[in-house]
Order: sequence, then C-alpha cells, then structure tokens
Amino acid sequence: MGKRDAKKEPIINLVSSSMNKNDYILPVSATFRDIQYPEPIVKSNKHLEELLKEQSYSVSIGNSLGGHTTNTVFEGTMDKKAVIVKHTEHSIPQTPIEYMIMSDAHDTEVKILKKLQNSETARAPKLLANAQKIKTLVIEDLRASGFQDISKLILKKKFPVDSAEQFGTALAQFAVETRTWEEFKTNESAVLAFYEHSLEMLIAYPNEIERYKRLEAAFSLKDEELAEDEAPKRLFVWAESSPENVLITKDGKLAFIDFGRSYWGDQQFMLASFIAHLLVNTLVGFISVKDVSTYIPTCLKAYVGISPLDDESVVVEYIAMEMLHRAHGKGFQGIKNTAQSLEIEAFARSILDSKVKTIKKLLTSLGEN
Amino acid sequence: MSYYNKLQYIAKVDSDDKILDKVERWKAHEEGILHRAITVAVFYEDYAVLQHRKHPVFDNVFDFTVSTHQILVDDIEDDMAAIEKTLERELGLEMSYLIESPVSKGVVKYKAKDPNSKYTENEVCHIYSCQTTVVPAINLEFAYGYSLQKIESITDKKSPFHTMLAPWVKEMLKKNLLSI
Repeated sequence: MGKRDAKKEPIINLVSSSMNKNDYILPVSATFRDIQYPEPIVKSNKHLEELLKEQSYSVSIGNSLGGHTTNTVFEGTMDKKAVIVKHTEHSIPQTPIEYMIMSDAHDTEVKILKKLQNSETARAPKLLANAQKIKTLVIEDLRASGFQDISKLILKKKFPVDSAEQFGTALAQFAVETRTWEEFKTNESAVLAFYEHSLEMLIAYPNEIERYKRLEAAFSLKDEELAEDEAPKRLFVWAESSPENVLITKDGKLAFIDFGRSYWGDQQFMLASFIAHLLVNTLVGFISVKDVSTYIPTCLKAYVGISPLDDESVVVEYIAMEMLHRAHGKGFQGIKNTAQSLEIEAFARSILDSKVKTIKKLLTSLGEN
Repeated sequence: MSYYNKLQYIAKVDSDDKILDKVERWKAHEEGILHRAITVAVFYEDYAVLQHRKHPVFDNVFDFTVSTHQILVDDIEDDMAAIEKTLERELGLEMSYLIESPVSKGVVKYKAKDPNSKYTENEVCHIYSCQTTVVPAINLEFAYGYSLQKIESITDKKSPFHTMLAPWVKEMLKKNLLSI
C-alpha cells in the first residue's frame, strides 16, 4: 500500500478557509478546558521582596522585564547595584509543551552561571545570589555596563551587522569551552527539546518520517545502532541562542544569557537557531537581505575557524525546522500577521523541499525570495 | 459542536467489567465512576505512535495511542466499531490502512485523579494494538502533536517520554501489553 498523499489530504485545521489548506500549519496552542493551574508561589513584587528577605537577600524589586516560558524577570537593586531578578515557576503556558519545563530550570541555570563565572571566553552575568528555596536568582544587570540585547536593536532596525565575526567567534569559543564540561543533570533533554522544535515540521511533512528520525538522532546525538559506550559524546547545548539572549555593547563586546533550558546534544543547533531567528527577522522586514547576507557568511567563517561543523546540511535542516517552529511567533516578537507567517513557512519549506545542503545556497534562495 | 460538548452515555461497570448502567461521560469522570473504555496502541513500522493528548481529562500527556469509550445507547457499542471511528476521527486512519484488524491485548483496571482538572479516570480499559501502513494524519482537535518512538524509549523509565505517559499507558507497561 502506498503512503498517504499529504498534498491531497488536508491534515490540518484552518484559521481561515481562504488559505491553502496544504500550505498552512496550525501552531500548537493550549486549550483551557477546566485546567486548574497551580497557585503562583509569588503573589506580587512586594511578596517576592519579602520571600528574598527571608532568605537573607535584601533586594528592591522594580519593573518587570517580561516573562519567559516559566519565569518572570525583574529589574531591581541589591547593595545599591542594579541587578536582574529571575524567578522561576510555572505560569499559564503559551503551549502545553511549556509545562514540560519544570522548576529545575532554575537549578540548571544556576549551575551553568557558576561554571561561566570565571570563563575567559564566554561572558555571562555574574551570579550575585541564589535563593534556591524560592527558585529565584539575582544576577548583575549587564545593561549597567552598556550591554543591550540584539533583538531590541533588530526591532529598531539597528541590527549590528559589524558584530558578525565577534558573534561567530564567541559562540564557537563557548561551544569549545563547554565541551570540557562533564555532563550534569539538566531540566530538559534533547529528545523533548527536539519534539518541541520539530513539531511543525512533522505536521508539515507527515510522510517524511525518515528525515524526522534522522534529524532527531542528530539533534540528540543518539544512535540506536550503536552501543552506549560507542555513541558520540553528547555536548552542552544552550537552547535559547536567539538574538533576544545575546547582549552587545557599542564596541562589540558580547554576553550570553538565559541558560535554564539547556540540554545535552548536538551543539550545531546553537548556531542554527541564531541564524534561523535572523532569517525570520529578515523575512518580516527588520533586517535587510543585504545585511543578513553579509552577516551570516562572516559569522559562519569565524565560527567554523574555531569549531568546524560536523555536517552543514544538518545545520541547514535545523535552520528550516526552527523557522517553521517560529513562523507563528512563538517566543518571537515582530511577526505582524498571518501573511508573514505564511511567507516564513513557505521559505522554510522551500529549503527542505529543494534539499539545500549549504548555508551559502540557503542565502542565495533568500535573495531570490 | 466540539466533540467534547456532545452528550454521550458510556457504560458504568463493576470490577468484573459487567455493565451496571449507563452514565453521562462527564458525570462519570467528575465522580470517578468506574466505566468501560478502550485504548488502541498504533505502530507505524517499528515505531510506537504517541499522541500528545489534548483532552479535558489528562490533558498534555502522551497516550499510546488513542483512547475512547464504547458509547451506550440501547446496547453497548462494539469495541471494533468504536476503534474504527476513533482511528478515523483522531488519526485519519481508515481500517484499510491497517496491516490487519486491531488485536485485543488484554484489559487494565486503574483509577487516577487528574491533578490538573476536576476529573478522575476510573476505568476497565480494553487494550488493542494495530500496525498502520501510513503515518497518522493527526487531528489537532484532539492532540497537540505526536511523536514516533521506539518501544524501548517509552518502557525505559529514564526516557523523557516515560514520565509524561498517560496513567493507563503506564499500567499497560506494567502488564507488558505493549507489543505489535
């Protein structure tokens, strides 16, 4: 019996009946049927201050800088210094997959920040306090040292094109340095991270299971054919390597933040995820094709000069997969409407459909888009 | 109307699976009344199809693969009829896509309170398995997505998917019912 023809059989629900059923991937969304969300541990800023006080930390909490998946980030002061306070607990999930992220993300982040405190290659905020009992950490506010996050610059159409070499170098050095780390327990695993990032691709290509399983094996460095002692060593992966979590100063110094969702697997995804975010920003008009076409090759050259890629074609597939994942704005600001989502989807699918093997060819396709 | 809003009666049973009465499905789950149910484990090649379940009861867990109830109107619905409807509704699988008809693997009895809702599962669950020649066309009304995993990946307690399995799937594992 032949395989199901996805082109003939719509497999997806639609937001608008006017759309081409076969070209629209419904983003994963939560349902809220009778679900009893747990009471928040922290009721207010003042309450958080009180809880920190009980842990012997005198912190004045200021404005919220927004929440990520399971945490809330505030600006504040401690010992008259500007600090960032990050409290981790479940919030109402944007998607149910986010409920896979548990409060252990706090412990993961603390462990990584401690490891990076004396790093000579990777700059990360100093850990100033760890209120482990209430899953709250206090770190230095890098903004006080002139850092700003690249995503904000992008949204202001001020993408720092000149930072390509510095970023490629910094990310590769970070990758190399973390390879010396012994594997420790993280909150998430590569397999679950892959499930989250690949779901849109799986739904878009229901019949291409071979690719799905091959990419999952590459992503998690899992080879079912090999015995455990023959399998490749799993490497540290900073899962949130997006422009939102890369800070830069005016003179091009870089710092990385947000390590709670890290896991052990294929490090190539760190570079792929960053490039995917740049391409999404390009397709929605915040970065010019010219700038991104200059930036990415320079960044790539710097990266591979320090940390050669194992398989560039896999990186290209990760990029397309991540673009499909972000096409509907999950964890991404700047997508204004469904037409833009469809354009991102179409580009990502064209990369997968035409089996593009190199980043250079991918950028050529972008120029032709 | 959403499938979950439709009025349906299911079979209230005793612990020997003998039908005692009919009961409205949400009442059964609110009050934790023992009732009859079905789970069908679907394999594609040698992969277990895990449905990331979107449901008022035990939402956001992985089912292996789909679960439903035998509807009770005047008579109890035949297992095979319920399976046929469910495979088509939730996975887009027609019976002709299966290598052979679903095979009965046994029964699990369990009771589990859903920590995230007001509902409790209390079931005598008939377990079947089947193998499909096509990948499922997952219906996003009933699932957030799906994953294909080797059976060892879900029986291994260290596996990230194991901890997120539905309680009845864990019971199926305990009784070693999960095979093609």
